[in-house]
Amino acid sequence: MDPAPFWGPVELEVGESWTRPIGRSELTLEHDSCEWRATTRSTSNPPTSETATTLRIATRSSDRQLILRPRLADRPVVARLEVPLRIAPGDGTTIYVGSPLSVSIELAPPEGKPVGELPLFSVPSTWFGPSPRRGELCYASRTIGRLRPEAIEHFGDRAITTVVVENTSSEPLLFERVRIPVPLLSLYVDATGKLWTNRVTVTISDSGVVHEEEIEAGPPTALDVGDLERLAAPRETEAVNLFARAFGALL
Amino acid sequence: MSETLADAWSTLSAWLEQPMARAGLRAAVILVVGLLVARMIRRRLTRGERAEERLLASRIVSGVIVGISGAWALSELGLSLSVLLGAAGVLTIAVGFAAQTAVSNLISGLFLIVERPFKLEDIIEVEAITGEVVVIDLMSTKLRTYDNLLVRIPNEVLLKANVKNLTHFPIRRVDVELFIGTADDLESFTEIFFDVARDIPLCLDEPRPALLIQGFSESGISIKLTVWATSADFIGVKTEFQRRLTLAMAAGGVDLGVPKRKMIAV
Repeated sequence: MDPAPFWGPVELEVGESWTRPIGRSELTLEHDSCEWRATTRSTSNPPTSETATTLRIATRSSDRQLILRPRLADRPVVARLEVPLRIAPGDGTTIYVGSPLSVSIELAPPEGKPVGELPLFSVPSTWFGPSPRRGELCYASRTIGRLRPEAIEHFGDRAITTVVVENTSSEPLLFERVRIPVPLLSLYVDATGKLWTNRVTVTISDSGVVHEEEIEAGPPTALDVGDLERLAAPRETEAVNLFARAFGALL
Repeated sequence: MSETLADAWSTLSAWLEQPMARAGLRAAVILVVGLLVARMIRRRLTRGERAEERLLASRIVSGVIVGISGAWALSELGLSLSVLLGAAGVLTIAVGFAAQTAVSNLISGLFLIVERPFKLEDIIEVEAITGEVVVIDLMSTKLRTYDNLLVRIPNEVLLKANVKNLTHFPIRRVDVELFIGTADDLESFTEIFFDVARDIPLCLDEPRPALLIQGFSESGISIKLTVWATSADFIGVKTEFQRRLTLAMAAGGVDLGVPKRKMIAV
């Protein structure tokens, strides 16, 4: 677990730089005259130019402050379990799945607007849909599929989504992967700095089809992590859950 | 001054009393109003969703309106419409014989717009020409090739030829075919392939990368590798995939198969 949250204001004089480890990545800020440079770099592999992403921000202001905010991914995340789970008819389970984060960079007020976003680490893309003709582009994630919240390994570069799976069908369910509608979720932080999203409930009916996908309003409940503070609103507010219902057969 | 104005007015009044002048004025007004209405409708139609349909609809509507206005204006001038239509019929037959290709292209253009095998900004391949569709006209379709050339393809050709739309679906498969010399190489190569596919960020996780054994030949084991990418990233992924595969094979000591012949002296 990282010692302190990475978000908030960062103050740097011209010519100074700042580096902060975030989970399996590190974020570096450099302040030059009329320019800010932000770089995220993976630290889990030997660092190369391919694992670094840089954002240059030009500004007339000589303000020495920049504001960092964590954001959830801009596309849904398809989490594939390393070992699939079997869920009996009429039974259910709760798994905890991590989603990648990015860092949004804002100039200090009065501008105060986001000027760019950097992913904290590179996440592969995947296709989610019944065929290569119909579906949507998502981020791919591998997950152990922890079933107890205390077993979750928290990294500062991801947020945990509680996924409740209900098998209402008459057949045992082979639960291999789940699509998490991340752009519709809010981002929360608990008192210890761990990041969470709204809870998602997926109900599976006969033939393995997602019968219902419900996003719990407000912070995730039943976690026993104390009060949660909302850090970021959902990227999308419109209800697009019909997609998941239509393509849920792949679950 | 007032006398000059009065003279001009009386001249104009006298001119306007002539039937031919009044008819000419009415014809001019009808023509101008027709052109204005056609322009207004064309502008309104260009707010639609599909560019090809907008183009077709605006041209047809404005053509019809201008045609009606013109015919009406001519009738105001005393020309009989039946004579005009008769002449137009004869002219149409003459032009039809003389411009069969043009008419064929025109009709093909209408079919293409209705059938819609591609749309503006799609990348298509027709008879070894690959490019982005920049204009779909009634007579021809214009492509911008990768080397930034404009290629005009008659619509008749497009209707008859096999047209490959490379960007119609959001994702595409990258295929690479090669030969592997021995079974030992195949084992190492399989591991290398899946590592390379996993490490390229733009390679899609699903549909899964696949290695297919196609057969055997004098060059060794024939292999087909498939990975998936978004249509927009296709060329980048294909290049990067082959680059990394080549480097990984060299590092792993895996050789490509080469043709082998056994010479037996008798």
